[in-house]
Amino acid sequence: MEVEVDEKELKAAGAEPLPDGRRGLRIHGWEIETRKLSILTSSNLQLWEEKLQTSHLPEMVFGESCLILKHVDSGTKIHFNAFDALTGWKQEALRPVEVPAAAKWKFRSKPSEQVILDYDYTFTTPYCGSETIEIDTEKHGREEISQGTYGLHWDNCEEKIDVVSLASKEPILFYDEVVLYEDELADNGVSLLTVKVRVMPSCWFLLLRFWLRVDGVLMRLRDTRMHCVFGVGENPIILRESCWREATFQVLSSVSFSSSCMCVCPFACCKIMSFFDQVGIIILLFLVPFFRKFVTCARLDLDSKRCLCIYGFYYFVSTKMLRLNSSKKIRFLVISFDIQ
Amino acid sequence: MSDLDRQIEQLKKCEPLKESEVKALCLKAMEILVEESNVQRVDAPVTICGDIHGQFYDLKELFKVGGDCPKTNYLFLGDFVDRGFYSVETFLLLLALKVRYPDRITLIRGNHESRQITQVYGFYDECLRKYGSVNVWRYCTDIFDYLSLSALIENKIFSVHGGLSPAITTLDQIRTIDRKQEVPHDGAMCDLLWSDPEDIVDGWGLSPRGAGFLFGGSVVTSFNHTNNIDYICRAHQLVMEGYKWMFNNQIVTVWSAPNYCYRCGNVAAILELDENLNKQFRVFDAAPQESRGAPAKKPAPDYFL
Repeated sequence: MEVEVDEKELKAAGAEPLPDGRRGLRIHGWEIETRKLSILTSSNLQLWEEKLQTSHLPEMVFGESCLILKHVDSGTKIHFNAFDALTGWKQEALRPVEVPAAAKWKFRSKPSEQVILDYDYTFTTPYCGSETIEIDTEKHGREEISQGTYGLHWDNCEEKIDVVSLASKEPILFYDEVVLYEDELADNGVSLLTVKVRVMPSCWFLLLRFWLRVDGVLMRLRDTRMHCVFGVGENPIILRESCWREATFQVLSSVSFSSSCMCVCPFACCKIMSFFDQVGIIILLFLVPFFRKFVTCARLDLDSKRCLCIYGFYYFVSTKMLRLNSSKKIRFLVISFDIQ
Repeated sequence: MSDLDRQIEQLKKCEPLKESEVKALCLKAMEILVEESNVQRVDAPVTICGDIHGQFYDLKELFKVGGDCPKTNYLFLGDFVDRGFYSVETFLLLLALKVRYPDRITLIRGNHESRQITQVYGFYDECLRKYGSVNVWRYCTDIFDYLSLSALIENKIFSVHGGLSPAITTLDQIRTIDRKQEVPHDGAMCDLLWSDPEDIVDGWGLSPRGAGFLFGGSVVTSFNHTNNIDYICRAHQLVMEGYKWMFNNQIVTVWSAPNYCYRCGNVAAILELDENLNKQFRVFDAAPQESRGAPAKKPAPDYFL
């Protein structure tokens, strides 16, 4: 997925590639890097199982792969990795969804003794990234370290990610996609957590996407987008938008657009995601909110999380903001946000 | 040079056959496969291979490591198609070898050798893309129904794609299955192609999906004892190291698709058994990029939102 970028273009944007063959670049005080390595070995997988106190992990855990965005002056590091995502999965611990064949299996003769496993095999995670502050001792001295023990936290806000400016075709200086984990649900669909990043002369933008398709049962999409515009004021601000969508196949077939979209996929398997999955995502991204327009009265507040539940479509948006201070103290702004 | 030899040479270059040739090849293969038992007898020496998943250039790597057919006697444990880019060429090459050297290569059925699964995981689309119609997919999936369900090497090593079934205690029970059908959603035939060994259960376990059996160590011990076999050799699950023993060497998983899905970075393995059934695993990496024909294109940066 690496893309060769013109050296001149990098220079003009005030960016430089990372040294020693690392993937990524330095730009406007940010160091942005991706690492893409193999899936965990059996022994490491076992180690993770012990740490996470589980006996089941996705078939493909890219445990050493990650995306890191480090703001050098403040020491703030925003990063994405499989371990933290799976910690989130373990905590959320959703009830397992049954596949269509399960209905038939209820009637088949069973062994006299059988254990029914009940972990969430879809590995659904509420993960929306990790953030830490690494204070450089030489630069800041001891005092600042103790002052710097703030945990970073995201505040609700009214601002939205500027999609229009992101749609403009300014050159991409760095682009990459990192798979964090993936499971084929024993050929019953797909569960995939990936993060994509692109860095332009004016900003960086990333999309962390959890995509789940349980064949014949449901599709689930949990997106987190982050956007940071360079050079606006002294302190960088990062906007984060999370959006969860979910629909059952039953509901989609009752509105009848699914079967026509889902039957033929002439160029599947050409990228990480098959065409089949891309169509599914398009349905959730565009058609589900479209239906929402007609049913605004069906609004529900679930767990004060400002969720909308519409005839089985599950739709949830929140925007948060992280304000970084490149000087010694770290302050946060709190702005509340409410969806219409 | 016979037509068949010419077709094998063509397929070895990763060039698919004409639709009419596929049809003729499948008819010949059907005549051979229909005679095979559900528990096909295989003589040693033999080299056992796990999932291939349409990774044609890695299959060529496998033949480089294990030797060419017919010089080496092969047993493939299914999952020839789906996921990779070259399911058509991979399956047709194996099938052509089967027709040409029926006693030197055994193909058994994996859970991907099914109409339903291939429509979701790539083989159907690939046929449509490469031939402009689904006829080749139809010929191939009709052949899938004739593939044997398991193999027995020198009466000592039982080989199957997935694993065991609570409906099966003896090999004779497998022999009575009417296999010439689409893989059913439940029952003994389904279990043989789908089930997995599982450390955390001792007896039988049911997957959290509500369908799919898991079997523990005691199930394997009693199956091996009842049928007087040394161990079970199966495929079906990705293993980073290419192979994995479980339950005190009573069952081994063999995985033969290196760098699975072109991104996992795993190695693959094949299991070579000599005439005395001595084992040797051969571990190999994915074929180098330059041997894969067309170089991988660097994708344009994606203006995702």
